[in-house]
Amino acid sequence: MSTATVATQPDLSLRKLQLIVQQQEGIFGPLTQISTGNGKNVLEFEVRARPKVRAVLKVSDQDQPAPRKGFDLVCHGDCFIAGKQTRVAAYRAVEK
Amino acid sequence: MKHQKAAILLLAFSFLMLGGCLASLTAYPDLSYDAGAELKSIESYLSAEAITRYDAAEDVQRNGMDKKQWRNAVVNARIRAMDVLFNDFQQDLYQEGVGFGISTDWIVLALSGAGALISSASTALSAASSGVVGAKAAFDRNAFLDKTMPTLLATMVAQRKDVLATIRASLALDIDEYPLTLALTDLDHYYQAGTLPGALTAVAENAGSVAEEADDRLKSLLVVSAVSPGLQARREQAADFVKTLNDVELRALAGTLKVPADEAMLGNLLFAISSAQSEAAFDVIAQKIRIHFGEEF
Repeated sequence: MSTATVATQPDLSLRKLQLIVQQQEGIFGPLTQISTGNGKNVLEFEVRARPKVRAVLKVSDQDQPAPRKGFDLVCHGDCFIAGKQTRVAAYRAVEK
Repeated sequence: MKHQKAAILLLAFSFLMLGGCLASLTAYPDLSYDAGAELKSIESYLSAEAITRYDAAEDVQRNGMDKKQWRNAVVNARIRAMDVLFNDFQQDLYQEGVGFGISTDWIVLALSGAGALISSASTALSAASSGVVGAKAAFDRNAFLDKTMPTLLATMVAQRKDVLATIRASLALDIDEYPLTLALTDLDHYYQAGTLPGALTAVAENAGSVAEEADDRLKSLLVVSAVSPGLQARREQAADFVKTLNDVELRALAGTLKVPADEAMLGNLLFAISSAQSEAAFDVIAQKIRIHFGEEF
């Protein structure tokens, strides 16, 4: 599996970070991992066809994010949201 | 009565464990030579006098050897002596429990607990209690050693091979290029490579360089930002198109866009598209694709 990793600035809102994730999924392929490194957000994607449904990000209070009805959990990890380290989970709506 | 039953059970457990230990394999077969006698036979090369004799004017003072032959004899003898002692060191580590896990300490604890029970039922509970505490300490210490020591031993062996290869290659050199003093310094490195502090240093240095590499990779990551919906639609169409190209076409496009035409060609081209975060920057890529493939984005 070939992967591509990009970074984002740490001062973005959750909404803006989600938009970037969705745009990068449109170029590389599905999101596989979110984390932080060197003071930035680090996003990893699998290089393949872009997903029909893009990932959505939610702030998570728990180490293991809660399941959401109609969504698959894609990945979860720490991210900088508005400069603050925050637990974030990425979900993808189940295709019908 | 209850205490007697407990004593019998504990004894049975102890003997079972001891029996298991005796039946187990040994880590090292017996040596087919007498290590002590071997060291004795080469002791003339290990003494400080061997260095004095290296500087002697006449070969006769070096058992008829010239300086290069004497240097090599001294170095080889000292390597052999270090190997013999290193083997002893390895075996000592195993006898301490490294490589055998925690069984030895558990047996000792079990036996001492059982002994206490037989001598006096009233001390049985305290013995059992201290046995549990001791067992936990033994587990903590040995679990740590079990995890780290095999790595350190492997590091020692690898480091020693590295230094040995350097020494062996150097022994072909003349004494002007590789005098005995230099060889002795290398022998110190050989010794150091076979020590726990030497192995720890090597592991720490390796961990440091791995962390540095990871840090460098993170620093060099492409930093992306959101783009307008119109530009994003163009980028996605171009990415979709690039994903349909075969290896030859990918290589041609990689050459035009000056991205590495290696195994990660497709990823590299997608990075080029992702890094085009303005219409003007993307126009450059779109133009190259149009020229090569006649596709408009």
